[in-house]
Amino acid sequence: MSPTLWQRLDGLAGVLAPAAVAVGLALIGVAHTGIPGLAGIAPVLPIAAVFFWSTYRPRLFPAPVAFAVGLLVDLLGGTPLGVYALVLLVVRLVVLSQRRYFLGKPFLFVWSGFALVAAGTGLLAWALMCINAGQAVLTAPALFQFLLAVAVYPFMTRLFLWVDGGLMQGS
Amino acid sequence: MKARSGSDLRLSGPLRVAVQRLSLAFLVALAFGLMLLGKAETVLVERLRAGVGDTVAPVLEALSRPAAAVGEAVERVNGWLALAAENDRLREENARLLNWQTVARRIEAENRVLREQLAIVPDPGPAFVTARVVADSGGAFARSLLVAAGSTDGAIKGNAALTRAGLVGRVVEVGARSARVLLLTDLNSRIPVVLERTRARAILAGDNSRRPRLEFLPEGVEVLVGERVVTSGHAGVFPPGLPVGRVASVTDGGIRVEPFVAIDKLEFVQLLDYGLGGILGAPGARGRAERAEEP
Repeated sequence: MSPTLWQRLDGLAGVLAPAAVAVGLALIGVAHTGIPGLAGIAPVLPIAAVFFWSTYRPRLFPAPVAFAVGLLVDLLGGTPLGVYALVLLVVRLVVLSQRRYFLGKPFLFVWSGFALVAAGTGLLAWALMCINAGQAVLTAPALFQFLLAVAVYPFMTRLFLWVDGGLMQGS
Repeated sequence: MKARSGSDLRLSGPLRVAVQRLSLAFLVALAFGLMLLGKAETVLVERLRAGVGDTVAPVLEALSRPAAAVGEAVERVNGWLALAAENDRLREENARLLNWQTVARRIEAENRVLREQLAIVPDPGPAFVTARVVADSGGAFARSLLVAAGSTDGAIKGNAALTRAGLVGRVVEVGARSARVLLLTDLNSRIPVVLERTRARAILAGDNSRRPRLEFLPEGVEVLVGERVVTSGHAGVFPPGLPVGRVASVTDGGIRVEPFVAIDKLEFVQLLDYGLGGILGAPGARGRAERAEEP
């Protein structure tokens, strides 16, 4: 039995919605806030989206989407092309291999898992930037970026759950 | 959950895993390839960035309005908490006076030169565009701004980005409606400067921190904390004498300069065309030629 038009549209929405959320987060991440000091430590919010969907619904966030969102982060942020594309791919890869530990666990456990992943991404991005610049890059902003990313993850999760709930209702 | 894969290509288990692994390897290789490409083929990457900048600039501008309102509200609360109202007024006045000081110094220097060479024809004033800052991007590893003015508004690659207080950075990419300003605090920013008191030349090198470093200072030059640092005009990127900052600290670890501009509070910047293409090459020079033909 071939899927009806609505089922197809629904399937499309299933993939598009998480990607759209990640793109929106990438844009919000660079938007001008006028809050002193925030720009230098603003977390790369799409990392949280990749983490969430790779954990709970990896099918809705395929690797090419993670790559494309990472590329957008690079293009918007002025980081060398490919740095965050690679970082998001690695996040997806790592989370996919570890997701069975997160499924059905209390939020605090998942949150600490995210903290580990965020720390790893910070380190990876830092290393890639150092290689690209040919010198050691300042570490302090990356540290604050990490702390901020961990701090906002619960709010991000609320957003992701809301989007996910909408998708579930639709199907 | 299962039903949602309805439109997916149906492949048997092992084959699908193989295809997925292969595509993942391809994407990882592509990411590394792009990093290399960005190092070698900068024009293509620049064009791509400019295109994306053009596309998202209107969105970011819309986003930045409420964010700016929130930012202003935060600022206001801060104002109530401290003696900020008075403080702000004085700071503004101070900035204005510093501005005048800059003008006076420049005029003084110009005057001296003019007296030496009588009947000199003065340079035409620079053409400028004022642009709203729509994104301060870069996160932890880069320092740049996206502004909502592009080539259609007269922005040109190589423009100096300034505020009344001083230098902010320079324009490195220009799209039709947006431009990217590399801040003087960025890791890749190198600006030829002179110390105003001793006229010693140096390079102001950004390292992503708030205070860039002074490098390649000649040996034996005495540097005082609080000394003014201005552009030297060498390398032809900026005209000489643009105010940059003030020496903030002199230690064994190096000399740090505090920029005059509070870079994280920028709302608008002016992109000035001094007609100096400099080492940035053709685009600036072409813009100048076009402009020269206009009148």
